[in-house]
This record gives sequence, structure tokens and C-alpha cells, in this order.
Amino acid sequence: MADKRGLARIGARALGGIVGAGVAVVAIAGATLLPLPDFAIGAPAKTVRPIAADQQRVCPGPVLALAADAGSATQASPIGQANSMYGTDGPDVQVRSLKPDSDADSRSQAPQALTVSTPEGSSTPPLFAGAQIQAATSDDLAGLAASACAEPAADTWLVAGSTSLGQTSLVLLANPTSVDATVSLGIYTETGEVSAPGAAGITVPAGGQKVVPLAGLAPAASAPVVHVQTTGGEVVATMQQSFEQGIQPQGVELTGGTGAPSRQQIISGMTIANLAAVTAAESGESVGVEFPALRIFVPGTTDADITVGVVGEEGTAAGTSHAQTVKAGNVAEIPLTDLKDGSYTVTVNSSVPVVAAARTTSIGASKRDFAWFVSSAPLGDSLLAAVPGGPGGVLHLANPDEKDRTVTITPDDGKATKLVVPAEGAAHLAVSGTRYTIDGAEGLRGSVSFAADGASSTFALAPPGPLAAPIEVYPR
Amino acid sequence: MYPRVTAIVVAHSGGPRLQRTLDALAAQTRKPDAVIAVDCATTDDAARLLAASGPTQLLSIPEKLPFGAAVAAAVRVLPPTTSSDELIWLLAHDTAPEPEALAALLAALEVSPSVAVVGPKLVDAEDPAFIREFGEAMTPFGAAVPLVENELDQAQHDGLSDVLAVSSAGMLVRQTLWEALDGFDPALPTADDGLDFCTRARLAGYRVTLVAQARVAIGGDGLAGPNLSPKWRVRRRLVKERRAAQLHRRMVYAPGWAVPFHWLSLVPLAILRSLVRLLRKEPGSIGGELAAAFRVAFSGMAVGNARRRLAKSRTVTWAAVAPLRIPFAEVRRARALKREAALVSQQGEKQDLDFFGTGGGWTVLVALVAGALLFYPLVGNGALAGGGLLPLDTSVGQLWANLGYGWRDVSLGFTGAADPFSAVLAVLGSLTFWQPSLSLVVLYIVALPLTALGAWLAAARLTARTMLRVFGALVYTFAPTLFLAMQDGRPSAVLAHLLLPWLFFAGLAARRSWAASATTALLAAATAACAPILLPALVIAWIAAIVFAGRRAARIAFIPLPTIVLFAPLVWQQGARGAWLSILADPGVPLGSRQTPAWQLALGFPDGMLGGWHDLLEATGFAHAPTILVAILLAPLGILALLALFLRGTVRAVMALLVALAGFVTAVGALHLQVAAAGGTVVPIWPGTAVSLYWLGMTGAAVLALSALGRAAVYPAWVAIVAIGVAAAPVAIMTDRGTAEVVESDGRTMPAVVTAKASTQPRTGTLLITPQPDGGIAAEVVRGSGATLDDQSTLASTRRTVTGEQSELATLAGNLASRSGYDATKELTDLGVDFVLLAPSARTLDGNDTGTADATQSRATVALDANPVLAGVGTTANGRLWAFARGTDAVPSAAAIPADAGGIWRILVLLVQGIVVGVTLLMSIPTTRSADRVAELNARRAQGKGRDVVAVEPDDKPEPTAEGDETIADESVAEYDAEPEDEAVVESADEDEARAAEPEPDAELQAGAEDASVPENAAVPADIAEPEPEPEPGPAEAAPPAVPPTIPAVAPVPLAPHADQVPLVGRPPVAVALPAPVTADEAVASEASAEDEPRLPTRPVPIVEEQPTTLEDGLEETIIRPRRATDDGGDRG
Repeated sequence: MADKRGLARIGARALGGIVGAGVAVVAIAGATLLPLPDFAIGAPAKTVRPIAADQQRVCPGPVLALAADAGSATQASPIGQANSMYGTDGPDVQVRSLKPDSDADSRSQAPQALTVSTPEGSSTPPLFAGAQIQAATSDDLAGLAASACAEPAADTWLVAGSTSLGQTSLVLLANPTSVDATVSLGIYTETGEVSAPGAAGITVPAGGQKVVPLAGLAPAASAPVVHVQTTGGEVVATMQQSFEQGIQPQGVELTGGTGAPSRQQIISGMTIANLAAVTAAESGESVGVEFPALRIFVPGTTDADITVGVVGEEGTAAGTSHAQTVKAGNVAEIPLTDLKDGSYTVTVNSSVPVVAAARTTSIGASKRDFAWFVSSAPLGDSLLAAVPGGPGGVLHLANPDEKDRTVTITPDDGKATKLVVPAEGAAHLAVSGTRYTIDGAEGLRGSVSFAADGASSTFALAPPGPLAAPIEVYPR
Repeated sequence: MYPRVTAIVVAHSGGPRLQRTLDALAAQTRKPDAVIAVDCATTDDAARLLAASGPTQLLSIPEKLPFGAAVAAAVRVLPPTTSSDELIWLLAHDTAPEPEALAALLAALEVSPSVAVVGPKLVDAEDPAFIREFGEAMTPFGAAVPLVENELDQAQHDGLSDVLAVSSAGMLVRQTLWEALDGFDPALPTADDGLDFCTRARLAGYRVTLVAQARVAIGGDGLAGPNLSPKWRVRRRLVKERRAAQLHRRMVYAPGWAVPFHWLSLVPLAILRSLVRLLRKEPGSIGGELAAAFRVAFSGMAVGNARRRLAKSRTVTWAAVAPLRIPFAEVRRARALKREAALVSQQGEKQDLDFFGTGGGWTVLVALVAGALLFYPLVGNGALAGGGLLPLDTSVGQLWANLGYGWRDVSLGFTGAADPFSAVLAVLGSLTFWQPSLSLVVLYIVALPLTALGAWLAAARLTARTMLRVFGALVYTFAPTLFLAMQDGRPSAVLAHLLLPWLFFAGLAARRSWAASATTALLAAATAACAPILLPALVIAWIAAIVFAGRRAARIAFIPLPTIVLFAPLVWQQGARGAWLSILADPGVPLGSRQTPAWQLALGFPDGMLGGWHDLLEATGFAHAPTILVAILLAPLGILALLALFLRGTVRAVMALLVALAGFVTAVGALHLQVAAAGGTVVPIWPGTAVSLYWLGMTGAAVLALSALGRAAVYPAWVAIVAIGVAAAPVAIMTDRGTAEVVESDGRTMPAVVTAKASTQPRTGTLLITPQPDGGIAAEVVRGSGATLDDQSTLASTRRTVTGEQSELATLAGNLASRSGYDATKELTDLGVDFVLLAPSARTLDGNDTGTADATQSRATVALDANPVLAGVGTTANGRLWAFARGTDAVPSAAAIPADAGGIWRILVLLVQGIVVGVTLLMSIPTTRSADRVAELNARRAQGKGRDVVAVEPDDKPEPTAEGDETIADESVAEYDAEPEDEAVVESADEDEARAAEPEPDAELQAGAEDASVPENAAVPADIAEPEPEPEPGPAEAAPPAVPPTIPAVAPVPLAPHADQVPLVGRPPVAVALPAPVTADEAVASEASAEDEPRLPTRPVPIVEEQPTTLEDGLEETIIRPRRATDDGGDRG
């Protein structure tokens, strides 16, 4: 009897235990594997469109020459005058000259601050753009230099310039705001960061300009990258690079800020002209300076695995691509080989954020010039492109998306043109000195290049700064 | 002259009792000369029985008159008389006199003309050897005291003769006196009728005596004589009746000038006494207490009539009855005797917890050392920061002011319900009242030992073995989820983990006493406040407990009350929003938690990183290494827990594993409930607290398995402890390694500039902008010197829409963080913002990709820098700061706290919460078991099972016994029929005027005699030098003073010395048959099988007057009763 009861009890326990273990397994496995429904609220948020502020652009003004007056070696002097073009679809543009940091004798030789006020009650700021171009032809400084009139910013990357033999680089800082800006320059070269005591705490007075010769901070740097950061007011930073071999001017270029560090940089409209001449000139001591190259810098501490894709624009040339590792903290120049004459879109994909710009040289019959092509941010849906009157103007539009895009380009005084920008490709359109309204450009990258025999220059089309972009606010 | 006796039999019901009474009447050796039967609207066979008995007269009254009124009706049919030989004998349907009763009574009356009232010895109907009542008296302050009650009759009281009063049942009284005194006071329908009548007889110059030879068996229906019904409804009503009777007599006996004072004192006194009742765990009596006070206060003419009646018949002064009162010394002595008897009777039912003897001390010490070693880096500046830790408000008053309903000073502020957690914080902060934030530091240091203590106690409910208690305590204490909660800075989760074992410890005893159930209620409220996600599991446990509680459901049902009132305003508001699930949101600062796979939760790690093992073993390069290692380390616990199902004690193991399952399911569910937002991130509920519950169940099951394993348990137990220690080590040492979120802090959460301004302008505002990982910004207005933990509100963190004010704030912040044409001056001024603080970017849990947030950070920096209305202050440890010159120090209306925030609701909520929690707190304070109560229980037991068993509803059955202090009788009586105390003091005000005060026998029943050890004297101002308690002498009482049969009103003859030696009659032999055959001890012994540590012999409890009510005492109450504890009712194998 007792045994039977005992057995029954043991049996019951075993059964209970097995059931229990089964429940445990089912519970854990079920909770792990089954897709359980979620209940999630959305964080209460409000998208705030900042009230449109007055928009400002600064045109850097004419190119400068150092020590043109033998009396003072660091005094910059303007050479000639830049030809600017600007416009808006809103109220009139107010133009004022900033106080130049040069011995300019006319107000027109100073940087120009352009301002467009936003009409009361308008929810979107008016389209606004400006650009300048100058064909310098002095004895020791000649070439074509075009530049966009840029929006002041607190953080700008200048990927251009050189202070090696014959190269002169000036960092032009213009502060159109009403507060002084304290600027610090982070200078990186092919050998790493340059510690220059004078690079920090540069005061740019409100409504004024400051010219910083790069050679004083980073002498004999063949491939510098300058990170311009300000507190207080914001500045427009421009790199002016000029090259003089012997007594022969070899070109001049004004280069605006390139795109902020990012894992993808897209440079649109890189134009190579007369590559045969460049290859032919490839000799002696000037090796590499004329050859198309991509200058790339990896901020931070992690080396970047990059892939560079160079894709020819519709109807110009085929492209090429290659991959390599770029050391963090050092500037690298990657020669762009295997290319022919034509226009290209250069896409840099990287494992960590990088900054990049490309340089080409145009060698003409009697003169030569170089140009820096910077990367740019995606454009908004519609924008205004101001094209100053210069030789051989071309508008380039690159489309990184996987769908063809059609944009409408309307000159101020002409008929609209439809331009198809192929997926993962680019298109271009010849333009002349006027304003163009571009519609349907959302997500594209754009630039304007100028080219003539032995003269080239370019500037990128930049969307309005992110500072005024709508922002998601989570109020508490 | 030959006395003529008219027996009056009042019947409210018939049946065998009436039959027995009628038979007994017929069997009298000296038959009454006439019998008047009064049929009070009976519905059963009473009328037939009465008629069949052949009474002289049969009155049928169509209503249920009280005894006194029914007798009066009967007397009215008698011819008026002036002869002192006309006697009436008062009987009820359940009072069966023994054959010689009338003869003996008559004999006493005949020999002494001064005697006008004689009373018999009232004995139990079933057991004639048991005295139910014999004589009544009053204390000097007038409380009714039965002279003898519930004692075994050993003829020890047969010498009693002259007494103050006798019970109305079986009383033989001269008709002349009856008429002169106008019978019983109609205002005393059930209680004290005999006492009052006899007192008036004494004041009229007559004597009242007892006749021991006359015995009347009393059924205890309560019509006349003591009501012995064990039904709690009846007992509760009696409390009211007796109290009302006492108050009525007080008003009647008091000197005229004192009546208004007495009247004014009625209600305040009732409230005071209610509090005392609470302390004595008699919540059921409070209603009666208050009702009695109001009834007497508004009784109309009753008092006046009674006073006139008294004055009309009074011939001697109150001094005449003074010697007949029971002196206080006697009352106290009687109580001591009763307590002694009670303790003796309880011996063997209590089990010493033996805290130090079974490893409790060492366990707590180990946990204390571990806590100190692991968290000493946090000791320093007296505050903590990191994770969800913020300082507490520097003022304790403010902590308490945050409770209930009112202004929630979160950001823009709103009026709403406080989180119940704020009450926990208020209590916590008050512990270190000089610096409330310090309490959080202390919490970190003592969390481990307190958890260990609670877990040890909870384990002690399951096993008596040292090893297993230590096992349970350490395994629960070293739970990874506790360390994770601590290192991540989740104070509410830490508290929940700490409280859970305490909750179970108290909860398993909740059925046993009101103190335990009130403690459970408070702990449950605190636990739920810390971790609302546990509410569903707790509710299920509560329902299960109610189902198993049987008749004790009242104690269990009460448990959620404090939780309900604490949560009610919050629930109401969330419900009004339609956001029911938001009730479950974690209190405090919303913190993100990773989506953790369920199997990791099952391993006890709710953080998704296996508590640091991922990082630790990353170097091995084997992705599954941490998983496998942790699984191996936790396998012993899991295996033991499941093993419990296969071993002895299955049912309890099932219970424990169900708890674990509930915890697990809750944890899984928590991660899927994302109801709170931290900035732009919607965060799930922290599953760690549910894992704590899971861990508790697993630990319990493992303890049960080990206890079934017997001696062999030592090895697996150590293996499991060590393995869990290793598993928890990486997360435990985070603070020491400096990788924890929690760091010590000086309590400042804002830049010094802001703090300095806030010290003079407490409502100074800072607009806090925090870039979010998605590129947005969180905007918040911080008032004063920064946010505090007690300010947090789940109503704010679970908000799903943006209010109008918030929308304006968003516009302001969004524009400030952008290049914008917005003129912020007006808005900043209106909001009273003096500073703008751009905090470091919020991190995602992975903390890697901050690019987007950093871009927003620099955008905002630029925009703020460029904003002409803001002046840059600089970079601080808390972020970049800008100042805004408002141009005034005035506090704008948006910044001020509205004076009437919450309005009437604030008061109502605070009042209700305060009352409920206060009442629970009072009840949770352990107090001495009332000697009266226990003695009475003993008496009740003595009187035989039969009766009690039938008296109880069938559903008590399931409680076979072992509950030490609680038998059926106890249950039924103890809670509900507290015997009221007397406000001795008030009466004493008229002391001079006499003992004139009021005597009152709570005659018919001492059943409800509650402990009188805590009279409210203290509370009442008075001239009384000595606060005397008013006792109801119990059975162990010595013989009351006997007044020699001289003419009353004459100087009293020396009282007979009290028979000090009265034996423990309160616990007659029969009582030994306690219905508790299996003591806890045995239960454990048989259950835990093993002969591990020898059980300690039951310690003799020292007999002391006042039992200590310390923690130790509370611990001692722990009765190791495994079966009971888990409600499984006995799986004896």
C-alpha cells in the first residue's frame, strides 16, 4: 500500500517536474523567438521651422597680393576687381562693403556682404545666391579665380592651398556679423597637425576682414587642410592660393569651404582640360603639382578605408575608381589617374568621416591655371544659381540617387531648359553670366566651372546653411 | 410572609434552548408562584412551546423588545404591590436555572430584608462547571467590570456575596423595588442593564448579593446576560452597544455641572480611542466607537429621563457604592495575571527566529562588507549623479509637500498627481533630514545588507536550516539585476529589489495578524511605488492570497488599500488621458534600456550586455563566449529551482516558480511597453525590477529544493552561491573600476553661476537645451538650482502630446538653436528665463555615433553665440551657458508656482492618503497582545470545541490549526469585539464629586475584552495624578471585594483581601486541547527532514508585564511553518 502511494507520489512529482520544465522552456523560447507586439508612444515633439532670418552672403573680393608694396611684407594688397553676380527672388539685396584687411583704395576692392531680409510673415526664406569671378592678370599673379559668395559659418573646412616653393596661400576671413569673431585655425598637413601658436585666437572684427598668410603658420606644407572654427560671430573663410614659378605666374584660385566631415563626399563637376599637356609638363621638379589629384583628410583618430569613384559626366568621359587606406590625422593627396579630358563627379566613400577636394590644372598655350573643386552638400528643391560673367561657364549637376532626375533651369532672361540628370551620374549645361533658377534639384550636388585656354576656376553651389533648417524639438 | 415569586420568561426565539429553560423552570424544587411568558414576536416554535408550558399568563408582543422592556411589559400585568414579598424572577429563553436555583435565591432574599436584588451564578449551558459570569462591578471611573467571567468553577468564588451588581439574567428582584426604580433604563437595551439597575438599587439603599448555590445555565444569546456569540458581526455590534451604554451611564451618573463637559468630550474622545484601537489592531471596532459616541451625543431625552429616574430613587450618596468598585490596583493585577496566563497558553506556538543562531548576523555582515567595498567610491560629497540619480530637494518639508496632488515643478510645471514614488523619497529623505540627498548615498551602501536581511527573513519562512537561509539571502542579494540597477543609477529599481523579500516576508504572515497585514500593505505600497510594472504581478498574488485566506480574507483584502490611495490620483489622471499603460511607467528620471532578448532576462541580466561579460570576453573573439559562460554560471540556480518540482514540497515549489514565471513574463512585457520619453528617445520600462521578482521566485524554489535534498544540500548550495557571485562580479565592480554610470557628486546639477543666482532667486529659470541623437533638441525649463529626483513626474515623462505651452517653449528653443529672425526677448522674459544652457549631447545607449547630435550641438552653439540678446558666459561642466538679462528680478507668472495649485483636490488627496497610510502605519506598529483577549480565548477554547465549531462559518475549516496564536475563536472574536476602554481621565475630572461618576459593567461580555493596557489617559489633560487603565478583569481575576452584608451606604467594611493566588483558571485543563496539534516546529522538522542543524528548543518566554514590542519581538513572531506559508495546505508528501 505504502509503496503504491509512494510510487504514485513520485510519479506525480516527476510529471509535475517535467511539466514545470516544459513550461520554463516554452516561456523562455517563446519570449525569445516569438515576435511580441510592442506598445510604444511617440516622443511628443514639434518640428520648429526657425523664423527666417536675414540671409547673408559674403563675396571674398578681389584676389590679394602679399607685399605688393615693398614697404611691408605682410600687407596684402588687392589686385584689380572681382566681377560679381548676385540675386534673389525676394526683396532687394543690400550690399555693403566689409572693412578690408588690405590697403584697398576703393570700397569695391573690399569683401562684399550681401543681405536679403525675409519679408514679414514669410515662412520660407527667399532664394538668394551670389558669386564672383576675377581674371587676374598682374605680373606675378594671374589666372581665373571664381568663388561663391558664401554664407558665414562657425565651422569651415578649407581643403586647398599650399606653402611649398612658389606657392602662396592666404586664408581670408570675413566677418559680416555684428559681433567680433574669434577664429582658431586647425592646420593639418601631410605630416600631421601643425601646432602654430598664432593659429588660435585670431580676432576678426565685426564687419571686417582678416587675412592670414598660411606660410606664417605652416611653412613648406605642400598639402595643408585648414579647419576654421569661430566663436562669437561667424565668418566666411576662403583660401586664396597662387602659384608662381620663377617669375611666371602659374595661376590663382579662391576656394571656399568644402563639405563638413562625412562618410560620403561628392565633388561635382571636376573638369580636366588638356591632360596631354599636363602629362607632358610632368617632369623635373614640378612633379605632381599639375596632375589631377584628390586631397583628403581624416579628422579623428581612426584610419579611413576609402573608395574613390570618378564618374564621367554624360557625354564626356568614362570614369575610374580605386580604394585605399588613408591615415588618420594626415593629409593625403591621391593622384587621379587613368582619366581623360572631361568633367567628372568624384565620390569618396569612407569608413569614417573625411573631408576632400580635388585639384586640376589647365595648361594653355601661353598660360596655365589651376582650380580646386570642393565637395558640397545636397541641394534643396529649388535654388538660385548666380553665374558671374566668365569664360566657358558650365553648370554641373550630379545625381547620387538611383533614379534619373529632371531639373528645370530657368535663366533670368531666357527660356527654361529641362536637364535630365541620370541616376548615379551627372549632367551639365553651358551657362553664361546671369542668374538661373533651378527647380527639382532636391538631393543633387551642383557646381559651376569656368574654363578657357589656360584658365580654369570653379565654385560649388551650396544650399542654405543647416543653421536655419527645421529642427525637431522635444519640449518637456 | 410567604414570598410570592413571579417568573418572567422573555423569549426572542424558541428551539431547544427555550425548551430547556421551560423544562428547568418546571423542574424547580421551589416552583415560582406564577409564570409570565413574554413572546416577543418570535417566528419559530417559541409561541407553541411557551403555551405548552402552561404559563400563568402568556403575553404576545408584536415586536422584539429588549429584555428590560419586555420584563416591564410583563410587570405591568401584575397588580401593583407594596409588599416586599412580591418577587419577580427575570429569565430569558436561553437561561435555564438548575433545580435548586430559585430556592437558593429566595433563601438569600428571605434572610435579609435589606437585600433587594439577588443574582445567580451564570454557568455555561454546555459545561456547568464553567462560570460564564458571576457578579458585576465598576472601576472607580465607572467602567463596567465583570467580577468573574469565563472561569472553571472550583468553588473559588462561592464566598462572594455583596456586590455592586448582578447580571440581568436570572436576577431575582423585589417587585416594589422594580417599580420604585422604574425598571431597567430603556436607554440600555442590551448592555449594562443589570449593572445600572443594581447601581440604582444600591443608591436607593438596598443591597445586591450573589448566590453561588443558585446556578443558571446561560446560552449566551445576549438577550439577558453575556452575549457569547462568536460571530464577528455580533461582536462588532456589541462593541458599539457596550460603549454606548458606558457613555450613557457616564452622562447619567455624572454630577450635573459635569454633563456638558462630558457631552463635549464624546466625539473627540471617540476619535482618540479609535486611534488606540488601531494601535491595538482592532480596526473593526472603530465604527462602533464612533457610532456609540454619536448615538449618546444625540440621544435626545434618554439621558435626561435616566437622570431624573436616578435622582428620584436615590436615597444614599455615591460614597455608599464606592467600596464596591474595583480599585485600579486590582484591575492592574488582574490584567497581569491574565497576560501571564496568556503567555503560558501561547508557549510552544511561537518559534524563535533565532536570527543570530542561524547565520543571519553573518549574512548581513557579509553583505554589509560587500556593499561597503563595492560602493565606497560613492561616499564623499553626499550626493550621487549619473543615470537616473539626481539630488533630492534640500528641504525635507519640500519632499513631503511634493506628495499627493498639486504643482509638479517639472519644466513649465503643471498641476497633477504626484508619483507614489515621491512618498518613498520623502520617507527616505527624512531619514537623513539634515541632508536629504545623503540618503541615496546611504541607500547605496546599505542596499546589500538590507536586501540580505530581507532575503534571509523571507528564506526563514521556508526553512530553518542555517545553510539554506544563508543561501537564499546571498543568492538574492548578489542578483545581477540589483547591481545593474545600482550601477545604472536606478534608485527606484534598487529599492524595489530591496523591498521585495521584505514584502514576501511580511506577506506570508499577513493572514496571521493585523500588524503583519498592515506592514505588508505598507511594503506593497512602497514596492508598487518603486516599480509600478510589478502591479499586475502583485495583484495576481493578492488575488491568490485572498482565495487561500479563507475567512481571514479581511486582512488580506485590506492590503492593497494604501497602494490604491497612493496611486488613485495618478491612475485617475492617466485614465483621463486614456493612457492606462502609462501607470506602469518607471518613476524618476526616464532612462533608456536596451532591448534584451528574453533568454538573457531568464539568466537574470536585464541590460542586454550580460552585465559586463560581453565587454570582458570580447577579446576572446568568440561571439558566444559570454553567453555560454554566464549560462554555465547560472545553471546551478536554474537546475536547483527546477529540481524543486521533483522533490518533496512540490506545491510550494510550484508557488515559488509561479512567482518566478510572473516575474519573467513581466520583464518580457516591460521591454515591450515603451510609454515614457527621455527627450527624443522613447524608453521601455526597465525590466530589472521584474527580474528581481523572477530572481526571488527562483531563489525560493532553489531553497525548497535544497531543503528537500537534506544534508547533501550543502555542496550544490555553495556551488550556486559561488557561481552567482562570479556571474555578478563584472557588474558589481563597475563602481570600483569607474565604469559605472553612477558617480559621487556634490549635488550640483547646474553651473555655479546658475546655482549662485538661484540661492537668491529660487525661481530663476534656465532653458536647458540638449541635442538628441536624432538631431533634434530636448528643451526644458529648469527652475532654481536644478531638477531634483522628487520633482520628477511620470505624468510628464509619459505625455504623448505637446501642450500649448510646450509648443511655445519648443518654438523658443528651436529658434534659439537655429539661425533665426525670432526675437526671443519677450518669450524669455515671460518665461522668467535667465540662462540658456546647452547641455552635452544626449548619448544613445551604444554611445558610438554622436555625429548627428554633435552637428546639432554645434549648430545650436553657433546660433546661441550669434544671438544678440544672449551673453555668453562660457563653458561649464554642465555645458555651455549663456545669460539673458531680463532686466528685472520679479518672478513672472509663468515661473511662479500658483498658490492654489491643486485647490481642494490637493487637500482631499492629502487627507485621504494621510489617513489611510497613517491608519495602516498605526496598525503596523507591533503591540502587545492583549492579555484580556488571550485569556478570553483560552476560556473560549476551554468551553469546548463543539460550540465554536458550529458557531463559525464553514469556510474556516481549511485552517486546520497550526496557526499559533490564532484559533477560530480568536479569529472570530479578537478582531471585532474589542472591549472599549474607559476614558478614565475624563471621568476623573469629577472625581471628588464621586465615584458618583459611573460604574458600568460591560457585563454581559468580556468576550470581547480587549487589552486595556493602553488607556488614552495620556492624551487627555487632567488633574489625575495617575492614569489608570480601566481593565476588564478576566478570568484569572482574583476574587472581587466582598462587602459584608451590612446596610449599604455605611462605611465600608474592609475589603476581603484579593485572592492573589487564584490559579490559572483561565486555562483550565480542557484548554490544553488546543486545536493546534502540529506546531510549526514539528512541521518543519518533518518537512525539512534533515537533521541538519538541531532545532532550538522552544525558549520559555519570560513572563513580563509589558511584552517588548521590538523588532526582535516581531521576528520572534516568525513561525516557521512552511506549509502554511505558501498556502499549499500540506503536501505532506
